[in-house]
Amino acid sequence: MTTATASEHPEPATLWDQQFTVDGDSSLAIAIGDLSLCTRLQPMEWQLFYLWEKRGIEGNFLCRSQPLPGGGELPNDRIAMDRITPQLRLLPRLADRPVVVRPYAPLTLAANCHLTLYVSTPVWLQMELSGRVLRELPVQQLSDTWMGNLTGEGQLCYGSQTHARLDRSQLLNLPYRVLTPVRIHNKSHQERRLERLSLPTPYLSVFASSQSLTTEALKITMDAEKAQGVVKIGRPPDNAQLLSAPRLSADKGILVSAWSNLFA
Amino acid sequence: MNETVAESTLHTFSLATGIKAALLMLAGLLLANLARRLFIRASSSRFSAHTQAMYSRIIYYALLCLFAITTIDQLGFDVSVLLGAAGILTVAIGFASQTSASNLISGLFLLGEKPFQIGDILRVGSDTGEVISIDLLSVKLRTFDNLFVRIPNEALIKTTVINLTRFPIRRIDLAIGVAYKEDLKRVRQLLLDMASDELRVLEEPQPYCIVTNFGPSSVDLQLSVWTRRELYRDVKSDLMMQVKSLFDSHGVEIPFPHLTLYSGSQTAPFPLAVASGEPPSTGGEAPAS
Repeated sequence: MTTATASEHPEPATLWDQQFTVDGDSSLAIAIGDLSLCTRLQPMEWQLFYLWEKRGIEGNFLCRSQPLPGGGELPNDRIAMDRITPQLRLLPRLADRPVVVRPYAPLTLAANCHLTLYVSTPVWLQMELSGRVLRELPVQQLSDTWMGNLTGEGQLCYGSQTHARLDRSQLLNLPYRVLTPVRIHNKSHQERRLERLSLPTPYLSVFASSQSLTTEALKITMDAEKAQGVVKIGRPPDNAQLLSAPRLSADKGILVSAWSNLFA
Repeated sequence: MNETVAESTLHTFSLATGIKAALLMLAGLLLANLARRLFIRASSSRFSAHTQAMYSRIIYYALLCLFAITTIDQLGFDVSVLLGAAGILTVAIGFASQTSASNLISGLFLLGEKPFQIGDILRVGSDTGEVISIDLLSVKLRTFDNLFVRIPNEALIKTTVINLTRFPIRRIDLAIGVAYKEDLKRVRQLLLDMASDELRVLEEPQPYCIVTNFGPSSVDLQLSVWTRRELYRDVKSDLMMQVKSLFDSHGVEIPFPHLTLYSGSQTAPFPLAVASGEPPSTGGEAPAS
C-alpha cells in the first residue's frame, strides 16, 4: 500500500513534513515545480525515474500513488541496500552553491536608503530513502553563472532572475520556492544600481511559515567606498518550523565579501 | 706478537663499528620512510597533493642526510674533511652531469613556482595530459590515450606550458560560417537564444556572437560562451550539434566551400561551345610516329 497525499493549497509545513510508505505494488509519483519524479521500491533497491519540463509558475506540489511504470524504461538512478524499508521522506533544501539573482528590470537603490526586497529561489528536493540514503534534485533547473570581476577570481554560482518585489503581498507563495527577505542598506551617498545579487544559499536554513517556505532574513550593507558588502544572516522567522538546516555555517552569521562577489 | 694483537683489535674494532654504522643507516632509512608516510597521512586534508609530495621528499632526504653524516662520523671519519672532499666531488660530478643538474635546479624552481599541481591537465608542445608526478628531474604526464610522457624539468622551464585546469571556467569559441544571403542579425539572435537555453552555458560572462570575416564561401561568425572547465569538451560538442539542428530547422544555410570563376566586366565571357559529333577520345594508344 502506498500512502500519498495530493494537496491543493495546504500550509507548507503539512505539505513538506510528511513521510510516505511505498510498497512494491505501486509507485509514488511526485510532480513539483518543473520536476516529475517517480519512485519505485523493488527488492533490495529503490528506483528513481525523473525528468524536468518547464512549467513556469504552473508547477505545483502533488504526490500521488500510481501503477508501476510499464515498458522497459530504465531508471535514472538505482539505490541498492541490504536492509530496505518502504519509508520515503521529502525535505526542501536550498541550493548547494550561491544563487545569483538578476532583476528582470533594472533596479536602482536611492542613496542612504533601507529597504526590503523579496527574492525567491527554487528548492532542492531531498529524498530520504529508507531513512538511510539521501538524494537531491532541483525542482527547477538553474543555469550556471560566474560571480566575480575576473574570470580567474570569483565563484561558480547558479543564475536566476527575480522580480525583486518590494511588496510582500504581491508574492505568489509557490510551494517549491523559498522566500528570502533581503534588507538592503545602501550606505553610499550616491544611488546604486542593483544589477545582480548573490544570495548565500548554502548558509541559509529552510523554514515553513503559514504562507510559504522561507529562510532567515538577510541584512546586506552595501559599502561602495570600501568595495565590499557585509551580509548578516538574521534570526529565524517567528512562528516558523525549521525544515532543514544550512549546509554551511557562517562565522557568527556574518559573511564579508568583495563587492564583485556580491553585487557585480 | 704485539703486532698480531694490534691487527686483531683493529679488525674487531672495524667489524663492530661497521655493523653499528650499517644498523644506523638502516635505522635512518626506516625512520625517514616512516616519517614521510606519517607526514602524508597526517597532512592529506591540509595540503594539496603537490605540496604534500614536496614536503614529504624534503623530510625524507633531510633525515637520510642526517643519518648518513652520523654514520660517517660513527665510522671514525672526519666529517668536515669529507664535506670538503664532497664539495670538490660535487664540482666534478656537476661538470660530468650538467643535464641532470640543470633538471634538478629547474625542478626546484618548478616546485617553488607551482605553475601546476598533480592532477592538473597540461599542454606541453604536442602533448596534453594529466600530471601524475612532479619529481626533481622530470614531470610525468598521462595522456588521454593513456600514454606515459616524461618531460625533463629543464624543458618545462624553457618552453610554454599551458595549464588547462588552472581556472574553474573556460570559454568555448565556435567558428560558424553562414551563406552570404542570410540575415546576420537573425542568425546572431538564433545563436544567442540557443546559448541561453543551454543550462551548462554560464549566464555570466555573457555569451556573445561576432562577425569575424567575410570568407571566400561564407560569412564567418564566432559564438563565444563560457562553461565549467570539466564540461568544456561535452558542451562544445553538444553546441556544435545544436547549431547544425538549429540551422536545419530555420533554413539557415551552412555553405560548402565553392569557387566562382569571374572573368571581369571588361572582358568577354568565357567562350562556351557545344561540340557536335563524337566526343574527343581521352585515352587510347599513342599515335605511331
